[in-house]
Amino acid sequence: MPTDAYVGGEPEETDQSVLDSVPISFEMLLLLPSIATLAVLSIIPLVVMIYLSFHEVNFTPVNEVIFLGFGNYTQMAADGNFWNSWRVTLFYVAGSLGLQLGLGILIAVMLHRVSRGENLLTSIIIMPMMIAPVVVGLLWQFLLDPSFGLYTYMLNQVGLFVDQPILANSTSALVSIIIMDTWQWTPLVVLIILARVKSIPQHLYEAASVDGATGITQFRHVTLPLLKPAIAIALLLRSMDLMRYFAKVFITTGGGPSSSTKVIGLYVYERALRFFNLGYGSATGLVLLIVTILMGLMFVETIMGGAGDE
Amino acid sequence: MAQIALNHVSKAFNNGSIVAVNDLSLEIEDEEFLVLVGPSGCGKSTTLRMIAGLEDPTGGDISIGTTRVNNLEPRERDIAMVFQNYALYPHMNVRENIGFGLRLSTDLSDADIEERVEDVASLLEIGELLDKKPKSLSGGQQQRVALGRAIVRDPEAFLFDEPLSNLDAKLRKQMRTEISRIQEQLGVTSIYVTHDQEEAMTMGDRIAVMNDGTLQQIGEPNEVYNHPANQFVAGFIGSPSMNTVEAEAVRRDGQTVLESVTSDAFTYDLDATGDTNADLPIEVGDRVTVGVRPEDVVLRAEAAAFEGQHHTTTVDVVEPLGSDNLLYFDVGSRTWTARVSPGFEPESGTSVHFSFPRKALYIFDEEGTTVESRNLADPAEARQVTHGDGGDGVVNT
Repeated sequence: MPTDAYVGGEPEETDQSVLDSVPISFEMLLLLPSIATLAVLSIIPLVVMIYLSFHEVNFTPVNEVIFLGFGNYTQMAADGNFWNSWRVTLFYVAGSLGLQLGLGILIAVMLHRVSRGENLLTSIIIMPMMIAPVVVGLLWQFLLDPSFGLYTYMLNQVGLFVDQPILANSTSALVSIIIMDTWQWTPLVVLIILARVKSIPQHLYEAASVDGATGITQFRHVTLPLLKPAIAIALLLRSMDLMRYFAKVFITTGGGPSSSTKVIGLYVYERALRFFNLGYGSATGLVLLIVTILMGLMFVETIMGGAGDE
Repeated sequence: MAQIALNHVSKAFNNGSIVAVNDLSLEIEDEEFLVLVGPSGCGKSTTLRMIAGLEDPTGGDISIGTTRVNNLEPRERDIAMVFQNYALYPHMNVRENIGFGLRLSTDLSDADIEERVEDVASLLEIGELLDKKPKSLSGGQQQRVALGRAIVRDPEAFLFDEPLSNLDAKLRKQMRTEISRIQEQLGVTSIYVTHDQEEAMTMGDRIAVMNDGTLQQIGEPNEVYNHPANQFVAGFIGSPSMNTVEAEAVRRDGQTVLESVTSDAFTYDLDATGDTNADLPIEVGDRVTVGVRPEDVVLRAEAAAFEGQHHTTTVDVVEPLGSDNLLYFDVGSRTWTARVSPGFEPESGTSVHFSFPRKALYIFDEEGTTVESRNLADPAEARQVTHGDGGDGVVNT
């Protein structure tokens, strides 16, 4: 039979804080600095870029701004160079992603099995990541130099690239920049995958080996499916970065020979800051942004099956 | 179905500095349910993992059926294992989890696999869970799936590695019965590792008690309980644990008396009961450990309730369990427990009297080996040390 229990009175009102008199909430107040920073660095430039993409802007003494409507966009659709850059970017992104992911998973799984000196090995493996992209470009340019490059010399010894510098052939130049980026960024994929590999419980492998799995079937049925979320994250990070690829191409090939390595990032740069066609440059940049966002969403949706799964 | 034999099996880690299993020999009969029990780190799990092939023994031979399996991979041993943390594949649904082993190790068609999975699922009453992922199942359901994964393969032997320790108490008891039922129904040789002596007692056809990597005793549950091979087994099997006190055999007034070593709190006259002690291999001056099971200790509020010898002590704590009460009191420097009827519930600090029948006495020598174990045909015999109508311990305080 329930009875009434004594529950006591309400606690006394505490004094009003100064913060209560501020018109915005305390949480918003704390967020203000970051919002301001974000606005200055990101939101305002984005708005300006969208504005510019509908205009023709010329850096002349009179600083003309002419409204074009969708003029820049229709011009883009008919621009063969624009489409060529996207084609190069497609090869470049697909090639780099495939190589980086494949090598990354392989190295991560092997690294996980190393019992002695794993930390030292990991440190060595992630070193390329610590180098600035411009320096990586210079380093590879040096290694591939037609007259004194080490790699050129080695390839020449087996009869390759004797007549033509490596970076002067459109195919080998594209392959070279893919290898450069793979060299630098596979370590990031290794780190992401390795963290996940380490979190796969050992007893799953034991259960699988009792169930009849060999090393390869264990990798196929246990490791790989459980790596999916990590693979999605690696794909997402790398693809976004690869779309914006610029420094190493700028340093080594400059987009050549004959635009064969002119990735979309370099193309946008040239339109906007070399030919000073700010309106057209902004329009192409905006398209790049939208494509990047769509691609990111696609990876998250298809591989992770929506965010937060597992 | 097969018998499993371990012949002088040893396992050392870190180049021999840690010996997990030391010269273990065991034979598990065909269709037998053997429980390996012992405290944490006693080597029971390592033993099981060696049988499964997940660890390589550093010495000795293991055979399953008529095959020596030392050099075989786990998948070649035709065994199934159930793990403590279920080890279900999180990316597969229940159906795929159960069928995984069949898919990898047999040539069965998809339809046959499907049929066997369904059969096992209905045996375990998890038919409606087949399309769910493990993470959406409760612990008990996950463990059923893990069991299903073992059963579906129809292996030579089941190996259970503490399968119930992640479940809550009620579910654990339920699954205990279920595993026993299924094992009996399928008649598959099973080895079950647990640290829970109650699980061992209730489930095993035989139980093997291990400590520090060595086998202490193997036998039927009642045999191990009533006639433990040594003091370790006596203390490990049974809950609450056996009461012990260190004592010395002395001669007093022509009688052999066991006298507690640390204080004069306890003396027990072996000859007073009139039983013959002629075959008792202890000499005057021997140091021994005296043991009594909690249910054999008789407690009364009044000394007059005892015919023969008895001791006086103070009740420390009373734990009512409903069906009976546990009373804690000091004997020498040890805390003893007595299991008494629920009506006897003295206040803490009350002075009470206790005794136990001569036949309930365990005596262990200095090495801990059992010299004498209790000899009660019926544990209720313990009550007979009191006057006939003692009200079975019900006392007015």
